[in-house]
Amino acid sequence: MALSEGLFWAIFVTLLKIAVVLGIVLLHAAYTVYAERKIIGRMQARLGPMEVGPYGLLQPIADLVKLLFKEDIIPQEAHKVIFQMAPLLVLVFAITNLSVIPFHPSFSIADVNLGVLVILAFAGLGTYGIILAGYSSGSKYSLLGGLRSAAQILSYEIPLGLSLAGVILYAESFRLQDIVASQANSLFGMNVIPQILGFIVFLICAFAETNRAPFDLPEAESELVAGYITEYSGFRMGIFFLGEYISMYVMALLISLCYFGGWTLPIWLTTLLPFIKVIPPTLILILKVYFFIFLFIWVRATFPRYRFDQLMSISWKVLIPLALLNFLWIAFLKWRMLT
Amino acid sequence: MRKDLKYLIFKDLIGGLLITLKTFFRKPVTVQYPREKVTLFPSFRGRHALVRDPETGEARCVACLKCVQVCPSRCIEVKFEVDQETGARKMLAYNLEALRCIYCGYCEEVCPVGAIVLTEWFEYSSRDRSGLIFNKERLLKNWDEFVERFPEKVYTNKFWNLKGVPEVLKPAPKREGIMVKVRE
Amino acid sequence: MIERAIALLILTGLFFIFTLLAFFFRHLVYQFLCILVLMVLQGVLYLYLNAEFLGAIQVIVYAGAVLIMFLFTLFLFPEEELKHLKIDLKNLKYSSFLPVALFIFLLLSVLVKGIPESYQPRNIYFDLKEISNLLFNEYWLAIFLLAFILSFPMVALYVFFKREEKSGSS
Repeated sequence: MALSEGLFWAIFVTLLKIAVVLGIVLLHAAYTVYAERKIIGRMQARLGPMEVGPYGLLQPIADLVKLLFKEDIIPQEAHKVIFQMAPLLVLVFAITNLSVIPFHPSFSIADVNLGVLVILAFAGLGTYGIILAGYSSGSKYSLLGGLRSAAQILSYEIPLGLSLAGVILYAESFRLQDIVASQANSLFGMNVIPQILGFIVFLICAFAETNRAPFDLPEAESELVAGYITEYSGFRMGIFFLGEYISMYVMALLISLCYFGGWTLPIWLTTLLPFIKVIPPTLILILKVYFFIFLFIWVRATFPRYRFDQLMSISWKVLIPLALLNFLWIAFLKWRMLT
Repeated sequence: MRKDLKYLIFKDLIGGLLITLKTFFRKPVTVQYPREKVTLFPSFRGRHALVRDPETGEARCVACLKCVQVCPSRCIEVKFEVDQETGARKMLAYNLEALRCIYCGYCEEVCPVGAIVLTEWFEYSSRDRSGLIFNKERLLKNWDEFVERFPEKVYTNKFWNLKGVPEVLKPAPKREGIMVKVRE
Repeated sequence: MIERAIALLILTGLFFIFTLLAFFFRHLVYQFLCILVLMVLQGVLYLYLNAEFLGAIQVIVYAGAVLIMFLFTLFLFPEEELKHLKIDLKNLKYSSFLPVALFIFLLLSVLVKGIPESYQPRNIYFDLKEISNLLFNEYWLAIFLLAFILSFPMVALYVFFKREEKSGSS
């Protein structure tokens, strides 16, 4: 019995889609490093990278070459298999998230009914990469960094999910395409207007989930050298960074899709400025994502790091009640709309 | 209550973000060093040099040892001989250890004839320690290298003078400020 | 159909392999990792049964959150206590005897009784849902017994710990 021809075709198309998305995202991740250095430089009245190529534009390539040719050091005390596997775990779970995200009304690698839940699940599994990297390095700094990261991601996943619950309730679907469509049809045009509370909670949690400043406790250099990446060198360290930047993009995409209407523009904006309709939908999404990536970098350039007890109390004492409040408000709104 | 309201609308956080945004649109202060150079102020204290007198072609030093006495890090060593007939001192060797120098500029201020100076030349280095221990010939060469930058002008540095001392009390060569004739 | 069968075979194989690995690793953290893989595989199994929501929740709650708590506890021990665990193969032999025997009994009873006409044989071998339908409808007694006997180790574990507690206190 031969495999059906349709299956081959489906696999081929999926592989092609994966190649396209992966290519674009990896290029973006590489140049986000450049953009981050450049933007933070300008925000500190410096120039940022300028040496490699015009305006330092070839810097990411130079970084990549440097990382590839560095020695791959494995510490003597390390658990070899876990040590080598951990960066891959981080990268794999970051990349898998991209498979359920729609980039265009008709373009996504996997059209899953539970898009939001899948992203939450893989974000949770991504923690294992970090915590195992911390454990397997055989260094106290790494272990503490890994533990911190696990505690942080665990406690921030709850408000993240709760704030997303409001979005899901509003759209009556877990599917990201439906969430976007429901926003376009609604009165406000964007989820952010009725759910400003949920948006703020989600934004803060997105910073914490991606281990970015001001919540980059796992890699607090003043206390833990470099946290869980202390013992890593060469390309394995590069993979950690790649995973971090990709998960940054996933979070930015999720925010734009769930709270800012994805590729749609609110009706009040298009009636006010009719010429804005010309912009293709993917470009709208990309512009929104770029704005949030800029915000990630902007916040990193501005705020100092939180203390660990502050981090925990923000999550449990502030964000979770706020997310619940937001959920109640959306439930009320939905009830008013239905009756 | 007002504090809570401030908290609620993230006043402090947004203020901080606006400051960085303002800086983002400012011109960076970075100087791209090898390509652009910083304009040095006239009081800059760089590489040491012994001023070559354009008339005699030799150092102006009279071996008074004031610089040796005033130097806080004791990096100057001067050897001299006394002429038996006239009683005049003659400087034989002038060794200066630039590695120990703290660039305070006391020596150039205290020098009665304006012989030892700290030039505005800051791009110098050496692969070994001996390259930064200057002897007399090296110090004179330093001066030649420095004045090559001013082929036509007459170079004056008003900071090579003792501060807070009335004009009349200054030694004669320093009274009108050191005028260094570069070319005849 | 064949794709589903291959996927099911791979899934079952992975379950089997990782269960065995969880037994035979000498290091607690490695054993834990096997449990983690089993949890994720369980989520995949739910996906296979068209219970996507359950699968996602399984991964989020059990693999993502509960097991991290386990890992936290493991990290509180010094490294020496985590490795070189002693495996008593004799105990394993005895404890695995009953389930294996029961499984063989179940298999034999299926073979003897045969598959009723109402189930299409094509579906039976390839579809997990069909298999479980068949087992629970036609062989409910055997399944019930299997579940009952599989609960013995839990009771045994409880008794064991109680005894240990008593001997520790006295």
